[in-house]
Amino acid sequence: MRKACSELLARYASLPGLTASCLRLPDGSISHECFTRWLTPTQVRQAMSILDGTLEVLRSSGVVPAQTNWVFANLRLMSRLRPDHACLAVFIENRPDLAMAKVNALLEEFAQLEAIAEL
Amino acid sequence: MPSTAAKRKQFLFVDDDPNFLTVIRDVFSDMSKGGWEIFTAENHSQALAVIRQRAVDVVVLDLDMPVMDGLQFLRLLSRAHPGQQVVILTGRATPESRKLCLEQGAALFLEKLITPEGFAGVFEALDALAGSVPKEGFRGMMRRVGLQEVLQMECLGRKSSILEVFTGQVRGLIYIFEGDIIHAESGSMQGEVALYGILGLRGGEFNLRPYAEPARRTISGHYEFLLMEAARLSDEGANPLEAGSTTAVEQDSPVSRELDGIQPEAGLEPQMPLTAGNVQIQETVLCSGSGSVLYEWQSPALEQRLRLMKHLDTQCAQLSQLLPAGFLDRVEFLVEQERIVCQLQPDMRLFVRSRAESAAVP
Repeated sequence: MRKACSELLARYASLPGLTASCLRLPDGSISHECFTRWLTPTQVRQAMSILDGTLEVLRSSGVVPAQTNWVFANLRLMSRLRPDHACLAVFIENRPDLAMAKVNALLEEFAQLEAIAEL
Repeated sequence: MPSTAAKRKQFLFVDDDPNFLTVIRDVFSDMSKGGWEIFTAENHSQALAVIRQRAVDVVVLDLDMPVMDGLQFLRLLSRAHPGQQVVILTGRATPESRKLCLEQGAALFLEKLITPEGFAGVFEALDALAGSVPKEGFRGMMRRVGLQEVLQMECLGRKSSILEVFTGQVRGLIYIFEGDIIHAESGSMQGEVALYGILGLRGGEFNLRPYAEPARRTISGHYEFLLMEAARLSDEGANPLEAGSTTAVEQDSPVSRELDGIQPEAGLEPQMPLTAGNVQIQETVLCSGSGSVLYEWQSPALEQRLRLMKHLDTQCAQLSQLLPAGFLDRVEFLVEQERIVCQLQPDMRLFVRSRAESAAVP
């Protein structure tokens, strides 16, 4: 199950501005990776928990998003949700020189992974 | 000893190590014998705040900084504060980093050496650099200058003025008070929407008028970020003040209603749909910080939207406390072909749902 996601993230590990990623699989298990010293695994896990809370709130409001983006002055938290409830969150530096196309490509590839729960 | 009448050289040291900043302040204050005024900042936000408050002769940056490293900050300073002398002071000097920094406009690239000789060398280099800053200004005429450049100059100089912009179709006013953009208006549009619309205009004339207080202040963000957002929106081609894009805004949408006061160019049919890039606004809710509805358009579930924004506000506070992320600009949700954008400010919350031909997030 984790293998396809791990391979995907490994391919994008050198993505400019990528500071951390967090993956929640359909069984609820969470794995994460930090690429800078100013984000700790605990912070990443807690942020993922808050993002999950956002999804709950949205669902109760009748909104079921495929992607959420929190855009802060210094950081973008972008998460992609699959129909099987697997969720990938990436923490990207918010810099004007960073193109978001590659980040969107990563999230799109994650969304297109086949039968993630059965891998 | 410098005479008391002489202007002290002003330095801003930016480093995430508070101990190093303390040492720098102590050592260089002694070495300069009172000739230096030293400011310190542990991150780029603090540094920008200092630069906004006062002009400094030299900004001295550490390279290895969290969130936005020295090189990135150097690029930001080059854009937002052109002419600011910047020196890199790093403990991890490499030929590559030296080349990159000098290419990006650093005046000097120095190594951190925590020995008396090392401090003395850095002191001498910085003192000479600050002393070389030209004291006289220039006068002249600029042609084909961009509105963003005019605004930057006004804001950098911490001036108060009104930038009046006019084209054949549009007249806009941008109010600048002591270096901050505080209000913009064009037709019946006000606030950031009007600011971005004016800055997205592709040509016209401008006039700087003496400052007068607007009826209402509608903008509170830092001008650097406002200009960056304006540039981003301009790149997307979504300017509600300009017609000519490919997709129509609904005739009775807020954007088209805002445009009602603008006379179309000769040759355009009055019935031609007015445009805002390739985006169609579907729903808008604007409320105060306490949740009172200020404006609503086509919202099928107003109470849900208000609850959602309140929840998001809480979660924004949690994330801001948890992460070194800075202030929230916006939250975006992609739902099939629709995009929802929420802006949450202490005194205002905005919910906009739009539909685009391409739902990709910039």
